Amino acid sequence: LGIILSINVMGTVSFEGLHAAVKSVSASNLTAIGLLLFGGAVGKSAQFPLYVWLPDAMEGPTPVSSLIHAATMVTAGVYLIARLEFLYTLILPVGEIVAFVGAFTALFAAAVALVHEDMKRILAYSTVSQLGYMFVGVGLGAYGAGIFHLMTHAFFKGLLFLMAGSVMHALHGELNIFKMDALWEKLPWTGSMAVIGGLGLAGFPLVSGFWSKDEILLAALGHGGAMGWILFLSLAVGALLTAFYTFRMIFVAFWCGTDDVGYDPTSVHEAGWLMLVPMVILAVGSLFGGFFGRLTAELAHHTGGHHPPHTIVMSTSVAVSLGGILLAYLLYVQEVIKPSTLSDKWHSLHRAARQQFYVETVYRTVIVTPLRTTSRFVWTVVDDLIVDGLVNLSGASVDITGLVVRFVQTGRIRHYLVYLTIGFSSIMLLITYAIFGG
Amino acid sequence: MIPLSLLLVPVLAAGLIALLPEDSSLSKWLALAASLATVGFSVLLWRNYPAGLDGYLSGGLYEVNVTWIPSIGASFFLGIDGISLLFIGLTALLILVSVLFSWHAVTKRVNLYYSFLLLLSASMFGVFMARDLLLFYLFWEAMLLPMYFLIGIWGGARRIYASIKFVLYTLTGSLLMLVAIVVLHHYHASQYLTETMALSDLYRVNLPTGTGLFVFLAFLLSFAIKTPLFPLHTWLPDAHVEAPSAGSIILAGILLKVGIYGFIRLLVPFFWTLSLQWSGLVGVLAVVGIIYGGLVAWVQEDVKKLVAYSSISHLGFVVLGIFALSTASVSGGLLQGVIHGINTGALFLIVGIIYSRLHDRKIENISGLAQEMPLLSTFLVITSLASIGLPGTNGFVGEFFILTSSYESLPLLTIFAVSGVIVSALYMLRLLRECVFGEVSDIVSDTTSLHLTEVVSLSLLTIAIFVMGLYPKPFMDRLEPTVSEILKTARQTSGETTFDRGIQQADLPNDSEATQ
Repeated sequence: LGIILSINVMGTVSFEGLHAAVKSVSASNLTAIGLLLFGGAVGKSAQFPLYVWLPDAMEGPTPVSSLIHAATMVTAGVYLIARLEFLYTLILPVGEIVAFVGAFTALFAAAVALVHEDMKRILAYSTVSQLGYMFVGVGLGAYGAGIFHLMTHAFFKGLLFLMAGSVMHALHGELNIFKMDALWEKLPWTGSMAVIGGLGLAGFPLVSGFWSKDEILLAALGHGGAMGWILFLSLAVGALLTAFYTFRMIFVAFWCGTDDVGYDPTSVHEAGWLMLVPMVILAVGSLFGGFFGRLTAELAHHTGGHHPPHTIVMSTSVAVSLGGILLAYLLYVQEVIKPSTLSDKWHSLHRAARQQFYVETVYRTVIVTPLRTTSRFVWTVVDDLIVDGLVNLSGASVDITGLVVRFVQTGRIRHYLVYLTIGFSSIMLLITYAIFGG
Repeated sequence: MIPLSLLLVPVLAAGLIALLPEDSSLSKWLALAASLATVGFSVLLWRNYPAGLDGYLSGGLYEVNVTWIPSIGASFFLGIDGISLLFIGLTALLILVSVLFSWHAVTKRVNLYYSFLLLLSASMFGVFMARDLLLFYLFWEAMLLPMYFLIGIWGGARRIYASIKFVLYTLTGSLLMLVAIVVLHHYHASQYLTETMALSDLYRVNLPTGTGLFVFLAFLLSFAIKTPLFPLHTWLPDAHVEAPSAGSIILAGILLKVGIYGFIRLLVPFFWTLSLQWSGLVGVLAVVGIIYGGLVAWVQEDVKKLVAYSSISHLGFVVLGIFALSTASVSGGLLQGVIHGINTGALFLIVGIIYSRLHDRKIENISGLAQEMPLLSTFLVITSLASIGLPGTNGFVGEFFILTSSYESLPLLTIFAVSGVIVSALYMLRLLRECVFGEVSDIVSDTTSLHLTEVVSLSLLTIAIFVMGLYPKPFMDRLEPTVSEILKTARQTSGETTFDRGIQQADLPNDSEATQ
């Protein structure tokens, strides 16, 4: 619809053409186009509420998840908005909506990731969450920041997915982190990759993810006003949760022992260099990609509004990152408080989070089932009964008429003589009337 | 020469085949030769038809004009313009596909079967080439008889009911059209003092308001039944399901298109103003058909019925495009008509193959096709994606064109129509999930591989899917000039010089043509 509107309003879809035409388009049309195109981005980049496909897509092979569901395909939505920055800079309120959706998604998905135990699911929700960060970036006009995070995320998330694939390979398909028994001993290489990726995701100081997340937090606070603070705080909390669930996953899988093992412990071994080399490549990017990007971001920086003291943002970033990791360590390794106690105490909240706060349930009950029932009803009642019924009725009426009229044909001459007489007299009467009457 | 050949070759072949002894395999080869010949003619036509020709009022390429019934001015008047060209090509392709598929599928009364098939093809060619109203009507009616027999003799369990329903339903519409034709002819004779049935002459007729409305509605109803337009669509599911597979291919692929063709060839040019006035209502019915057809397709249990309802849904897009009444939207609609013929023809072909192997069409019984029949499943997936309108396939081209250009004149309806794309994904993907993927069900586990003829026919259609999807320009180049000529003439003859719809200024009679 956005594209259709663009064609009808501006007569072109080439990027150069749009760039030129945008200035002369009315604000309402621009807003409509911007919102519609963002709608497409919401679906493609799995933002709330169109994110539900991403966790389910984890059923696919892991390299696929790594490539398209972490790094490339899902970022297409972010790319679209960045590409059309000439459009979005003209409709800043839409940008705020974009940022708001992004921030909400970031927080929402992080909360859901907290309570899952399937490694790929955790990473899936994490991706949804991180995409939210990117949208906050591009929504607020900090296109450089958004794309920067896109690139660093590609490195560490891609790495983490490959790591998950390696774990799956070693454990013959087991993905439940609570059924993994201190994998570090048997899979040190994979474990190192996990830690590197995790540091990136958690935004550990000096690692790539730290810089890019920092840029986005900067843009959020720099937006100014209440909105800026709301965005900043939600993203900061999100970052805390991110660090927490990431290292929850890593600690539980690689350090914590368990007796409830979901695989045959004797057959566990590293996958060999063919699987490790790609991971190492991504690991390098995860660790050092930040510096390279930081330079380009500094050069191409254009956030609207004033720059807040960078120290606030920087220290927040450091704090939440380290804090999250520490929290995970305390809870899962040292077991200062047993996590199960916490989940019992906050039982309904925990259960809600596990059901993605009932988003999918809502989808099913409000959209899918009624639609299917209505369709079935429409088919059986409207089509078969009513419309077709009318058709068959016409056929049946002809039948019935014939059935009734049939009785005229008695075959008995005396009856025919009667008909003849009646008919003839009627005609004579009519003729007489026509000639002599009015 | 070529128009006559297109008519004569199939008829002669049909006659020859009918004379052959009962179990001679020569009939198949003759039918194949005839259909290949018509394909050859279409290719010749294509190559000789220049890209910018409108070929419309001028009788087009290869005009044939012989006086036939002087007393009413009817003549044997054939001509080929851009629209005819595309639909003739479609017809030839689908007849070839049908012959190929029926090679192994039809085993009883084979000669009669191929005779009817070829007669049907001849009458369809005739419809697309006729420039004389009486001739048009003749071919229009001539399509019904072979179809009746095809469904009634070689069809499924409820074939008698379905064939009679089909004939009576469409015949009702056609008879209304006949009355309308007589009225038109009468008025032309009284206004211009010449007896004529030639379309180009009849466009000039001016009808008084009441009569005009009646004639308009008669034509509208007749074509709406054939298209089919909601709510006159109920003959379609039964006819399609009970027809033999090749019959379904022809029915869905071509027969449904004659209704569309009628809209643009007769209805709009005769009644420009009325068409504009009624475009809103017809558009609403079209969009209802899109969503209704799609949703009902989603919950079907019979594969063939699912595809039948999907036809109703897709043709809603076509009707929307046509009644948005701009050059771009009508061209898009007609192109999508051709595209739909290819895609749905392919779908029915696949369904026919499935039925011939499994002898069952219930979706719940079919599962795991991908494992037992991988080649067929590949074709099915490609065709389904084309049906949904995946970019890269022809389905996307048609739908996108229609939606973009219809937005100008019918914006609200277009917005609703867009949701129809999602619905088509719904039912197609459901079909794929239930039948192609998953565990292999009992009846699926014991199947034979595809015959050569089936592979060839499927490949032909698949190639068409991608060619049209990736490079539709040649098709549009031949379609658009004709369409814009038609719309221009329509506006001129209705005496309209201004627009109240704000459509492309380039379409006004005085401006030079600008391509979209």
